[in-house]
Amino acid sequence: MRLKHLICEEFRLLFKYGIIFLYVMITAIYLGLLAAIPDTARELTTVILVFTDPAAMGLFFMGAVVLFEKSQRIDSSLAVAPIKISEYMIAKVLPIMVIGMAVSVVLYLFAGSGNVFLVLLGVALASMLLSLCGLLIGSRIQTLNSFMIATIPFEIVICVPPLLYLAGILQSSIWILHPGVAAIRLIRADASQWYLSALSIVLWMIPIYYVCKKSVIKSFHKMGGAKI
Amino acid sequence: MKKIFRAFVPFIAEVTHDFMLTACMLGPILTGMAFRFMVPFAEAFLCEYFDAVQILAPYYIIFDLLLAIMTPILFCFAGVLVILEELDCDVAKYYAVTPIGRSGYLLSRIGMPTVASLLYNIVLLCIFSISGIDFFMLILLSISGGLIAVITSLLVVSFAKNKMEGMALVKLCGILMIGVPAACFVSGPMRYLFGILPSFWMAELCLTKNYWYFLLSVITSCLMLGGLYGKFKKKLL
Repeated sequence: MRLKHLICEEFRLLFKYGIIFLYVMITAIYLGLLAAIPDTARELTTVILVFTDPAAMGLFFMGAVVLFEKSQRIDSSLAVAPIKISEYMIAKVLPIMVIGMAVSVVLYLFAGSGNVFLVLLGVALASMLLSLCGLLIGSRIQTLNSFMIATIPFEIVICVPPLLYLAGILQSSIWILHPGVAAIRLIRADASQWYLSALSIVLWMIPIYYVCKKSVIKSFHKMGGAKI
Repeated sequence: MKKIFRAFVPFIAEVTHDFMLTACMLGPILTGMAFRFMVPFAEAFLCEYFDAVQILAPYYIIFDLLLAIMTPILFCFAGVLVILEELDCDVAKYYAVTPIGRSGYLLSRIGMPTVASLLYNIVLLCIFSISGIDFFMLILLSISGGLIAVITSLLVVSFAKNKMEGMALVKLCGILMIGVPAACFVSGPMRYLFGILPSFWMAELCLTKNYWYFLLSVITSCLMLGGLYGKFKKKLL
């Protein structure tokens, strides 16, 4: 019940501050873009768009969400509320994942082909992983500038290899161990060894979840909010 | 001017402290290098693969235009994030009632980075331009790019009530750049619907070498800036 309330509240927050509206707009723009490009490049463009935006939105927005909570002292209330840290984290990650999946399914139905289930699985897992990274950074920093800087290494490490993989520069199957490559394989509906791709992301998610949890606990204990 | 410099110092201290300044300086260089070296490489690869004479080459100007717009936007982005922090903490209002006032505050956070980015942009375009545009055109593109960066910044700080809305608006501001591909790919009278965007006239300027389009780019920018500055003033006090 607590988790349900937290998730609903998070959705309300995302709706109130225009994130959901923003993604409706972005979806419309992407659809226009996909309609304008040649058929031969459409599917590849869809894969890149889905991976770099709806799947990665957590990494971009989590800092703003967490810092907003800090400046409004919401985290102080949450710290004394009878909620578990795991519930707080799930409530942060799940709504962003649902929005990402909704955008991806629209884009994919418009321009993609193959198994939608695999695409949704890829988006869901990638979104959770990247949102956890965003939450990890967000719980440790105090300003938006710092957040933007701190996300750059994560973006390079997680997002560049999959793009090189798509371009055919990285070809070895060992790259499936890389979470970004595993995610892009699922997002482009690559059915070969899909379970290994999913397993690879889950295996990466476990340590990140625990490091993130530790970081959130530490930030809740510290309190004091953002820089005033 | 001295007062504005005084207000600019804490801003510089903040962006230097969290390496944002380094990112602002390095980001355009890395993008420029990617455009300068990877795009011609991709062109050679694609031409060989599809057995064509040219595929990307007619659109090299798009990459130059994106670099011309992106450099000042990155510089101003640091200012936007600092303003969003200062609005959230109410520090911005205190700045506005000091002798620097609202316009001085904006100049210290957005105006100064834009001026710095103008010079930086010209140097970068000289080094990394792949379409072979002349020096005078580079100056015009840098000015237009700077104005687009100021519009983007004012749009975010005028409409965002907090950091979350700010980040959402930063993402949405990418729409302002749509004028560049629109000028290159949309044909017929429909393309002039994009004429409300300065980036459209900026692309037209490069494509046709008609310098009147620079004037149109400046006029559309000034109209947008006028409206947005009024909105920002109301918001600050």
